[in-house]
Amino acid sequence: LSLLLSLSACPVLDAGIAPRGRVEAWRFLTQATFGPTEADVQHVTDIGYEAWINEQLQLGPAITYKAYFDARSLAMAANGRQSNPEQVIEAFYTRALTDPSQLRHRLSLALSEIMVVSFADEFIGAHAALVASYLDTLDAGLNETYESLLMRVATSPAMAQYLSFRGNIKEDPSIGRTPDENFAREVMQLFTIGLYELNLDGTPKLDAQGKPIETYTADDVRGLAKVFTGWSFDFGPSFAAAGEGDCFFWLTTCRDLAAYTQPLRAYPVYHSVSEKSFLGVTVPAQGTPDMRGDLTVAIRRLANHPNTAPFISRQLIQRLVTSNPSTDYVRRVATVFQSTGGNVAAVAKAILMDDEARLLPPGTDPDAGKVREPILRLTALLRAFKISSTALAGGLPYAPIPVTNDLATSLGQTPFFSPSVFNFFRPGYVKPHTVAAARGLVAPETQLVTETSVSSYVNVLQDLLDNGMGNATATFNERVRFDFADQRPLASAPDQLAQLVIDRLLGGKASDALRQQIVQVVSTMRVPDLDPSQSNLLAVNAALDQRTKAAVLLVAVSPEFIVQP
Amino acid sequence: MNKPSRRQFLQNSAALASAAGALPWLGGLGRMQDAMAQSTATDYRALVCVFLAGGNDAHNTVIPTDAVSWRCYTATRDPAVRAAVSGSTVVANFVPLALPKASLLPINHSNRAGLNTGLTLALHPQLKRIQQHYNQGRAAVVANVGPLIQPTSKIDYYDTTFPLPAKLGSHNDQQSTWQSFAPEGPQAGWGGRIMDALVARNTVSTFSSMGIGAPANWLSGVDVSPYQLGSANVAVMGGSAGSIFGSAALYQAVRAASAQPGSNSTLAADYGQLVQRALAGEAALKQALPVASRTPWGTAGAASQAVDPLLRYTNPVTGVSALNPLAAQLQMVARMISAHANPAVGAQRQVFMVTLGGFDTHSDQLNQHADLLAKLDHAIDYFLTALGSMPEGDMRSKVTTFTASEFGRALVSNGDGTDHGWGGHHFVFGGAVKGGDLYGHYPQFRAFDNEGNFFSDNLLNYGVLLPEISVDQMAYTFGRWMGASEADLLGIAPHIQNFDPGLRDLGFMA
Repeated sequence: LSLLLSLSACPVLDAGIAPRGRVEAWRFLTQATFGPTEADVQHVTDIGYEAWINEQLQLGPAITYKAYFDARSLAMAANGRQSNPEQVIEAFYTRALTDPSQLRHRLSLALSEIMVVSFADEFIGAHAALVASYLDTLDAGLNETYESLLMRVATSPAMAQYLSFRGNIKEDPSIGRTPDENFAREVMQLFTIGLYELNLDGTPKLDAQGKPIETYTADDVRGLAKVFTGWSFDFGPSFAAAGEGDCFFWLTTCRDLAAYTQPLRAYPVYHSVSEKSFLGVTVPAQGTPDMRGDLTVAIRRLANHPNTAPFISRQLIQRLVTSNPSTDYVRRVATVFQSTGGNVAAVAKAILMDDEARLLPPGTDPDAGKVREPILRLTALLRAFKISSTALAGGLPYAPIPVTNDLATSLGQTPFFSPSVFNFFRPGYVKPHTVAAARGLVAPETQLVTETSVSSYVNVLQDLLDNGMGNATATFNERVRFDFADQRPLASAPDQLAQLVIDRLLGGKASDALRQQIVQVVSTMRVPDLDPSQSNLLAVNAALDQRTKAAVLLVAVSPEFIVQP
Repeated sequence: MNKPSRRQFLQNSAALASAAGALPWLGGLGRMQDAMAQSTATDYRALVCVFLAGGNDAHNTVIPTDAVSWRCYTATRDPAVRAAVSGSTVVANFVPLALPKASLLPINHSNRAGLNTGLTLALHPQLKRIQQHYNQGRAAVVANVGPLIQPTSKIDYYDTTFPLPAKLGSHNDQQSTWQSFAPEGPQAGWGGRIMDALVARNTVSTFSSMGIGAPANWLSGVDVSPYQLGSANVAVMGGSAGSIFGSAALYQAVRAASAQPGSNSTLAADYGQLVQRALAGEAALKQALPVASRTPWGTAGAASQAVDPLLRYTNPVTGVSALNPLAAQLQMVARMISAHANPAVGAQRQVFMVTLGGFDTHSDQLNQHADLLAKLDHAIDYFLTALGSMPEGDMRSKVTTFTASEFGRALVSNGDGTDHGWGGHHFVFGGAVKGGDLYGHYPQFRAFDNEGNFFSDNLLNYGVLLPEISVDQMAYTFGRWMGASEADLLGIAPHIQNFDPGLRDLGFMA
C-alpha cells in the first residue's frame, strides 16, 4: 500500500484512514454499528475512521436502559399492563435502531455475550429491571479498566442472582456446608482467563509434553468461591428495621426493589474469614471480615492475569470483525488491552483500526468475516431503510420487537435470553461436516444455524416485510415496520431497485446471480399504470412496495448478506 | 431381514381400504406404499438420549435408604442431623437438602453380582410414573456413571500421573465429554458414531441422527450429519402457499438465493450447503411426517402443543399446569419414529436427542429439582405411553431411551443448593430393557470429616461421585443393542478396551 502511495501521481487515500468508497464505509459500519445507514456511510467517509470512532466513544446513550424501562413500566401500568423482559428487549432495539451512539451499544451487546446474564433464568425473567440495570453497568464500564468493569459486574445484582452468589454463605464444616462455587468457576472460565494458559496471540501455551496447561484447579474454584460469600442485595432506609439476615436472604420482610439497580451490599457476618487461596494468590485468614479487600484482590488477579488480554481480545474481535482472526491480529489487540489495562473502548478502537479489519478488500480472503447472528441481521435490515413505529406517549423512541427465541418458528435468538451462561454460541464452535471445519475454522454463530432455523429465518423476514414486527392483543397493537415510500420512484426500474438494495444491504457489491434474480423476479411483479385521476394511487404504491420488499427479501436471505465479509 | 408375510400385507391393505375409502385412487396408492414400507421394517431400532443439561443432582434422584447410607446422606444434606452428629448448633435460614424419607418412592433391586448387599433404594418423590415403569420392568437404574479413561479407584484419582478426563466440573466440556469423549471441540459423538456404523441399513441417510432444538455433538458422526428439527413443526422455507408477496417466482427465487453462496466465502458456502440440505429434508418431511394432533402422541383437535393436554404437566411447587418442553420435544421424536418406514425417511436405525435444561441447581435446589424431575417423569411416561400404541404397533421394545447429564453434583450443600460433581445415576427406559433393577455398584456412603473428606471408596471430597461405570460402557452397551459390530464398537467407545471384556456390556439390554 505504501508503494501505491509513493508511486501514485495524485494523492491516494490510505484504506486505513478513511473509506475509499461505499463498500469500505459499509464494511466498517457493519463491524462497528448495528448496520450502516446512508447518513453514517457519508459521515465516516467525510471524517475518517479514527475521528468517527472517537466521536462515537464520546456519545453516551440517548436514554439508559433503566430510564427507558422505568418510563415504559409507568406508561404500561397506566394501562393496566405490567412490564416484563420485553421492555428491556424494546430498549435494546430502540437503541440499536434509533440511537446515534452505536459503537458503545454494539460493545455492550458484545460484553453481554461474554459476561452473560439471561432472562431464561426464572427469577431474572420475573424481575426484568435487574437486566436493565446490568446493561447500564456494562455501558458505564466500557471506558474503564477491565478490572473496574469486572468489579462492576461482580457487584451487580443481576450477576449475583444469575450465578447464584446472592446470599452465598461462608463455609461451615460443622454442618458440612461449602460456599456456592458457581460464580467463582464461571468468572474464571468465561469472563477472564479461560481454561488453558495462553500466549499473547491467543494460542495455547504448551508444556514439555506438548499439552496445554490448565489455568486453574478445583481447589482454585473453592478458594475463590469464599471471596463471593456474604454478598446480597442492598436495601434502603425503609427496611432498616428488618433483620440483617432477612435482607441477606431476601426474605419477604426485606425486599427493597430499588436493590435491582444498586451494587451489592456486603454482609460481613456471612463472609468467609478463613484463608483463601486461588491462582497463586493467598489471602490470609481474617479476624474481621474484609469483604471489599478480598474482592479487590480477586478481581485484580483475574483482570490482570496474562490470559485475560488475549482471551477477551480474541472474543471481542470475533464479536465485531471476524470469527478467525490471525494470531498477529489477536496479539496486536491484546497488546493494547494490556497497555490500557483492558479498556474495552480502546480495545475496540484497536480492533476496528487494525489492518486486518480495514485493508483487505472484502472477498480477498475466503475465510475472513463471520456469520451474522440473527439479531444483528434484523437490526441491519431495519437500519438500512426508513422504519416507522407506533407512537409512544412522551415522544419516547420506540422499537417494539418482541421475544424471538424459537429456532423453528422465530429467529432462534433474543437479546439477553441466552439458554445458559455459555451464551447463544461458543467462541470455539465448529459446525461438523462443513468446509470451515475441514479448514480448521471456527464459526460461533453457526451454532444457531440449523436445518430448521435457516427456513424459519426466511419466514420471519417475509412476515417482517409484510406486517412489521411487534406485539398485539385485542387492546393494543405495537409494531415497527418498514416504510418503503422513498424507494417507489426506483421500484419501477428493476435494475435500479436492485442496485439500491445491494448498496444498502451489501455495500454495493453482489454476485451476478443474485442481482439477476432480483431483476428477473421484480420484473415479473406487475405494477398497474397510474390513472390520470390517480384513483388507483394506493394500489400502484402497494405494488411498488411489493417490488421493494421482494428485492430486500432476496438479498436478506442470501448468504452474501448472512455472512459479514 | 424379515419379509412381510402375505397375511400381514393383506391385513394392512384391508385396513387401508376402509381408511382410504373415499380418497382418490392416487392418494390410496401413496398410503399403500407407506404401509408396505412400514410392514418391512420390523427390525427398526432407535436410541433416544434425554440430556439433562446443567448437571443433574443424582444424589437426590436415586436415594439410598438403608440405615447406614441414610445416616450419611442426611448427615451431609440435613444441617440439623449434621449438627446433632457433630454437636454444633445450626444457623438460621438453613435449608435441608435431604428429602424427607416418608416422601420417597421405594424401588427394589436384585443385588446383581452381589454388588449392593444391604442397599435399599428409593426415587425422588416426583418420579411416580418412572417408579411404575421401573416396577413394570420397563426402566432400569445404572449407578454412578461418568466419563473415565479407564477403571479408576480413589487411590488412582489422587495419583497425579493417572489419566483422567480433562476439565472435570466444566459444564460445556463435560457435556462434550459425555457426548463425545473429549472437551468442547469439533469431534464426533457416540450417537453419531453408532449411526456411522449402521447408516447403511437406512435407505435414506438424512434422518439417521436427529436432534430437537440446538445442535449437540452426541448426534454428529464422522460421516453422519445430524438433522435438527423444532419440537412442533417443520419449517417450510417461504411458507406453504408456494408464493411470497403474491409471487410464485419470488418464492422460487428466495429458495434458490438462500442456497447460493454468491462468493468465494467459506462460511457462505457452508450456509448454502445447509440450506440445500434443509430444502431436501423439508420435502421429505412434508410428505412423511404425521401431524401432531393425532393419537397416540397428540390429541385430536389440539391447535398447538401448548393446548394439548397430553403435553402439559403440573409444576409441583406452584401447582400451575404448563407445557412440558421435554414432552413437546419427545412428541416430534414420536412422530419421526412413526414416519421411519416412509420411503422418504427410510430409516431402520435412528438416534435422537432431546434436552431439558435447568439442572444447574446451585441455589433453590429443592424447588427447582422437584419441578425438573416432574417434567422428566411426565415426559418419559408420555413418551413410553405413546410408543406403546403407535400406528405401527407397540414400539416400546424397538426404542430405548436413556438419561444423560454432564455431571452429577456434590453431596455437600452450599446453603440451598449444590455444586458440580462428576459421576451420576441414570435411567434406561424401554421394552428391550431388563428393567426393574439396579445395574452397577451404588456408591458406598460413609462418614466424612470437617474438611469435606469422605471415608468412602466412591465419594471424593465434598461428596463428588468417582464414577465406577464409564460412559464408554454405556455407549458400548447401547451400540451393541443397536447392532453395531464389535469392530465398530471399538470406535464408538474409544476407551472400552481399557475395561474388562466381561464388563463392557452392562447387561441391561435384552
